[in-house]
Amino acid sequence: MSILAFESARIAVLPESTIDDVRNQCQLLCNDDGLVGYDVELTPPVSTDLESGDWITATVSLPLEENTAVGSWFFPSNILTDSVSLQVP
Amino acid sequence: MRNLSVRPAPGDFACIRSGRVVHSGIRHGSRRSVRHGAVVALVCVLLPAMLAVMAYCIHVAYAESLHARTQIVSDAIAKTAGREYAMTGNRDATLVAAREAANRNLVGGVEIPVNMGDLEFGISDRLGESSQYQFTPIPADQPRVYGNSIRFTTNSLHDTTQTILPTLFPGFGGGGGIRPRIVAANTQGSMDVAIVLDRSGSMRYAGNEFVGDGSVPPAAQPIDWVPGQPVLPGARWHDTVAAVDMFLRYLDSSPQREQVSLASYATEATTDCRLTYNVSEVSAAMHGITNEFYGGWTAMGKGMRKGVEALTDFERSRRWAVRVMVLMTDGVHNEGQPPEWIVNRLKDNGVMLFTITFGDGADQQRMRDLAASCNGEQFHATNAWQLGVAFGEISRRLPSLMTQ
Repeated sequence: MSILAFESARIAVLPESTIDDVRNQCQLLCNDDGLVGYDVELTPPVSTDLESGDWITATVSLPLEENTAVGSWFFPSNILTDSVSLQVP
Repeated sequence: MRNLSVRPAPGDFACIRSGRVVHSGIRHGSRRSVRHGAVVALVCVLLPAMLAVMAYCIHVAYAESLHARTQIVSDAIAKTAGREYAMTGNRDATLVAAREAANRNLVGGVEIPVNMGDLEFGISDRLGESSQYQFTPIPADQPRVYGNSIRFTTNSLHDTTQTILPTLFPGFGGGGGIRPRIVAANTQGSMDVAIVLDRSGSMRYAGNEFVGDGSVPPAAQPIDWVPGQPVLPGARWHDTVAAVDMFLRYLDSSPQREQVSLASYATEATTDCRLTYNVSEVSAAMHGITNEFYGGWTAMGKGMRKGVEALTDFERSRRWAVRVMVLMTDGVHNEGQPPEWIVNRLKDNGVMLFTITFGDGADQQRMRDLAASCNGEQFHATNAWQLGVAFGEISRRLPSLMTQ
């Protein structure tokens, strides 16, 4: 989860990146690990208004039920989340 | 004699010999009570052991989770600190930036401590493209020496006697909680930059002046001006020189060890300055063109060729450095090999191309396509201020690396 969040933030701070670029990166990593149903949220949303030194927080969430064998028995509605903040270079 | 169809009672030990069932002879009541006691004893011994093993497994998983999170946070800290160090070269400011990154990226809900002892300032370099970066710290007694790399180690977290990241279950982890020692290094990549400038006839005109086919001279041009004399005040060339000077100052002020070359083109292209660490040589070469301006056609392809030659200069270029070309024009290619012919040469040599168009006469789409084909970007400026912004944007896009 931390790696997903870090990679999302790393892509988000790149110049001219879009939310689609971030989602594509997430999808690649999720495919490698067999994770499904992820969601990623950027705060603030990626836009051209961001300037060098601004911070972007990427929050990634995954539903427990679809991604664990045992955990979902006990917490079927739980959602795992993690976030990483990076500075725009 | 019992019939063979009689089945042994549950719990009986029985054997069948010659078609008969023979009872073991042990009384049923006493057998059950003995077995019942054994299971209870087994549960009493094994259940705590199983719970302990389960707790240990959970502890290991939790510790690994925190370990991974600490690595990610360390990367974020190194990245932030590396940016600050590259921009300011100030160690105290770098520490402040690193702490802010730690504050924004918690580990298990806790901010990991960052102190000056956790940061090392140094130089990361490698011998070739296939080599790993090696970090060499700058001695602490040489704070005025600038490096290109930051190495962050979680010493304060690892060496503390306090419990910062507690374990889930008391007793695991040997006391003191979870204290991983993580190392993360961020390196600002070394770059060789080739600046390729347009010095065609249209560069004599003011930024907002109509050029057309060039038959009408610039409004500010004296009637006795001839090629080879200094370019006129207010000309686009002056705006370009000012913007490039600003770009050079940025490269010079950063702790990275960049090399810069200058090529220019009109009807023909020239290498005005080979790759050098001394940006004042580049600036002097530009001012040399200012004082002896000829103008001519726009042979963009020839200019790019000179730029590639500078970046692949056997004596001066560094094979492991990131190669960047900044191509500036205010017009349309109209002489010699088209720029698209040179693109493959840029690609073969791993050159990232940034293009800057200046004024309304430039073919923006063509320059955008050129830049995109070499992993770069195109910027457009209509006045001197925007031109400066464009060069600033390019400096922001120059790459940094996580090298450890």
